[in-house]
Order: sequence, then C-alpha cells, then structure tokens
Amino acid sequence: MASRRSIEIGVGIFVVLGLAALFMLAMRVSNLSSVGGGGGYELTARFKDIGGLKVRSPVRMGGVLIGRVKRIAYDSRRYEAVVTLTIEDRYRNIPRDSHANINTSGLLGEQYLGIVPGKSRDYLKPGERILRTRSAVVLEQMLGKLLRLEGSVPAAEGYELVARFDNIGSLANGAPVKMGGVRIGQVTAIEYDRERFEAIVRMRIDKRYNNIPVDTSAKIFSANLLGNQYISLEPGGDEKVLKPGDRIRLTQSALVLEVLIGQMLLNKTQEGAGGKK
Amino acid sequence: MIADRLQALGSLVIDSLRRFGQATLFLMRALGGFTDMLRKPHLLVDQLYSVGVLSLAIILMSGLSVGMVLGLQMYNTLVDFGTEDSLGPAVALSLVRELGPVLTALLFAGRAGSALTAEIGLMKATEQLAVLEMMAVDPLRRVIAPRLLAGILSMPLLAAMFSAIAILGSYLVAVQMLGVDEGAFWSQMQAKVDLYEDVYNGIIKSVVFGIVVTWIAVFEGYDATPTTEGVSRATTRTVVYSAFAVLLLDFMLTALMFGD
Repeated sequence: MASRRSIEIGVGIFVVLGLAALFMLAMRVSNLSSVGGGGGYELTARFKDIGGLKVRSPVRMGGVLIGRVKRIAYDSRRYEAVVTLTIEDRYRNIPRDSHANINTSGLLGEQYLGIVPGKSRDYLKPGERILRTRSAVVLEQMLGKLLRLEGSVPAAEGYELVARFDNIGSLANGAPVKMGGVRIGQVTAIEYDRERFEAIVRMRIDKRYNNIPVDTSAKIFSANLLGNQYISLEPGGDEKVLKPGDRIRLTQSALVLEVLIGQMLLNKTQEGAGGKK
Repeated sequence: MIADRLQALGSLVIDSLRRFGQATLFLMRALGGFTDMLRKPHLLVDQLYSVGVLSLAIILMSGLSVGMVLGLQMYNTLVDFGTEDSLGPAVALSLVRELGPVLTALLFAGRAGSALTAEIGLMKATEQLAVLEMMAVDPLRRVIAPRLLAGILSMPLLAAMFSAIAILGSYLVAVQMLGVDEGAFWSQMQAKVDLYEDVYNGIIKSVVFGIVVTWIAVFEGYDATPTTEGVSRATTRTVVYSAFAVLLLDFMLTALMFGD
C-alpha cells in the first residue's frame, strides 16, 4: 500500500483532473462561452409555416448569430405559428420594417430565422412583433410547383410506346416519362436485346397524350444531381403521330458521369497536346 | 410438470424480489453512514484512491483509443459526402451523451466494482466484518459507506475525463492527421453541443451509473457466500449485473432525456 502522503496526492490529482475535464466539456465542447442564457429581449413573429424551426434554433442577421428561438406556439384561431425570439441586448436597433424569413443553412443544414433589416429609423421595442415574415419553403411544395405533378398515371388507361437506347443509366421500372416537364406516363418494362446490344424500354403513355409526333426524340435525364432518372420526350414537327406499339426512333442514352468526365479530360489532353505542337 | 416449472419461476421471482429488498435496506443503512465521513475524511480519501485513482489509467487509455477510432471511422464515412466538418459535433455528442458515461461505467464495473466485491467478500470470508461487529463498529458505516460514496463521487469525474480525453483523441486523429479544419472542428462542436441538454444529462447519467454499479458491487461482496468459490461467483455477478443494469438504465435514461 502506498504511503499516506502519496495516496492523498493521488486523490488530489484525480479530483483536479476530473474537474478540469468537466470544465473542458463545459467551456470548450459545449456552447456555454458563446451565448449567455440570461440576457436579451424578446420579439415575436407570426408565420404560416415554420418548417423545421425548433426551440433554440439560431436567429441570424446578416449571417451573424444575434439570438435564439425561445418559444413556438400555434394560434389555432388565426392558423398561424407564433415564434418568440430572444435577441441579445447588444442588438437593440432592429428597424421596425425588417423582414423575418425562415431559411436553411446549406442544402441539408438546419433551419434558422433570418432577419433582413429594413430602412426605418424606428426600432423594434422589446415584446413587439415583426410584421413582415416569409414562411419556410417546404421542399415538397416547391418541387410540386416546379414539376406540376399530377399524381401517378393509372397504368390501365393508356397506350404503349417502345424506345431503344445504347445505355439506360440507372433508369428503373416505374420511372416517369415526361414531356415539357409534365409527367405523361411511366416506364413499364426494360429488356436487353442480346443481338443488337441495346436496351429496349417499354413505356405506357396516358391516353390523353395521343398526339405525339413520329419524329419525337426520347432522352434519359436526371431529376437533379442526386435524383432519379426519367425519360424526357421532346416533340418533333411531323404531322403524323405515334400509334400504340410504335417505336420512338430518335433516342439519346443516359449520360454516365464517368464517361462524360472522361471525354472532357480526353479533350483537354488533346488540346494540350495540340498546343505543344 | 407444468406446476414444477411454474414453481421454479415463482421461486425465482420471489428470490429476486427478496434480494432486491435486502439490497435496498442495505443501501439505506449504508447511506446513513455518509455523515461519518465528515468526521473521518481519511476513510473516504483511502477509498477514492483505490476506486478512482487506480482506475485512471484504464479509463484514460480506453478514452483515448475510443476517441481516435471514432474520429477515424467517422472521417471515412463523412468525407464521402464532403461533410467532415461535422465530425466534431458527431464525436462530441456521441461521447458526452452515450459513450462516455456507458463505457466508463462498464470499465468501472470491471476495474473497481470487481475489486470492491472481492475485497468485501474476502473480509467476510476471513470474518473481519464479524470482528468489527464484535468491537461494536457497524461494518456498514465503517466499511461499506466510504466505498459507496467513493464510487458515486468517482464515476462522474472518470466519465468526464473519458469524454474529454476521447474528444482530444479524435482531435488528434481528425485535425492533426487527417486534415479536418481545426476551426470547424471546435466551432461546429460548440454550436451543436448544449451545456444543459447534453453535458448535464451526461453527468446525471454517470452519477446514476456510479450509484448503481457501486451499489451492486458492495452488496454482492457483503452478500457473498463466505468461501473462495462464493467470492469468485459474487465477483462475476457484480460485473454481469452491472453491465446489464448500465445498458438497461442507459436506454431508459436516454428515452427520458433525449426522447422528446
């Protein structure tokens, strides 16, 4: 057994180390040092839709953290969300005609309340309401507006078209067929022609769209950088229209990212080689 | 046949309840001995040394390696999405909320809990506890209470050290070796980790685990059959029961604290 003195020194070191670790967790790891809990004054704002805003979400002006969301309530008579903010006392001079918007930091980041200052010389006093607000943009609504989705097309009502592609990328059964961005049908079957080394894609088009010209071209596109692939039909100018079971002759295969980049690099090196000569 | 099974089940339940009741009465009487520590602090200091200081090495080593591994593995996943900046908060949150208290409690049960059980069990086997009683000294106040308090005080300190050194370990790997931005590492961490929500709840967890693990350890020792085999069984039970209790309680506490 160690001597009395070394035991006591050991315990002393132990306690000091433990407290130092707690201090580090409080000051260095968590947010104690950045925003004090107590100080600040309150403002309110009303929104139709707050999206993913939460209590303690940041409030930013010009990107700088000036406070946090303190409380979120729902006014069931006016069908609005009432958000109470705590703003640090340093930032007393928020113009009365400022806008409060709900923004997202980055593509996938958390939502925050952004205040865009107005031009008024009259400043908001504690407890007052920011009148001009813009609600959160809900991604699904935005996409809905963008794509004018009309729900899925019933498979039974419609006619079939066929197209052949060198490469269909990651096109899958059930993928949408669009014309001018509007969904007009879906892919029903994908086969591989072993003799001609081509992919055969069968699609069912809603019967409302029975006037697709015969010189229409079919291209495989991606919905966005990360999204699913779909077939886009670009109508031609011919007066004859495609009949059920017909084949779309003009096709453009899926762009495979690696191939595309490969081509670009190849062109670059060729240009470089040409420059040297 | 069925009646036999049912009887076995019934006696198991009644036995467990009786043991739990004994353990609770035992805890209450030991808690009564906490006031003695004010008059004889050296009793507590000795136990802090054997429970806390002697556990330091294993806690710090494990913390460092857990932190380094976390940093390395999270980096490998996050770098694919270009989000290695959120490595700091991911490591800190998982450590402060879960891994720090839980792993420390498991290591603590293995290092200090088993030693406590073996020590008290041997005191019982060699009739030292009986001798204390003969001298009109209550072994619960003299032997059990200081060990219990030392365990309860040591656990949160050890858990905090575990988390702190693990975060430093992930800092070493992620920032110094793999090249995560240092400013992003700390500032994202400070933005995401909340003192009350995360750090305080982590400390509460470690205090609860400290109480439970030390309680199991000292009770198993005190309750051990006073033979060589009995002490060895009690030691095993301490580690197994502690591990079960810690993991189960961790789930319940997590659901209560972070379950919204």
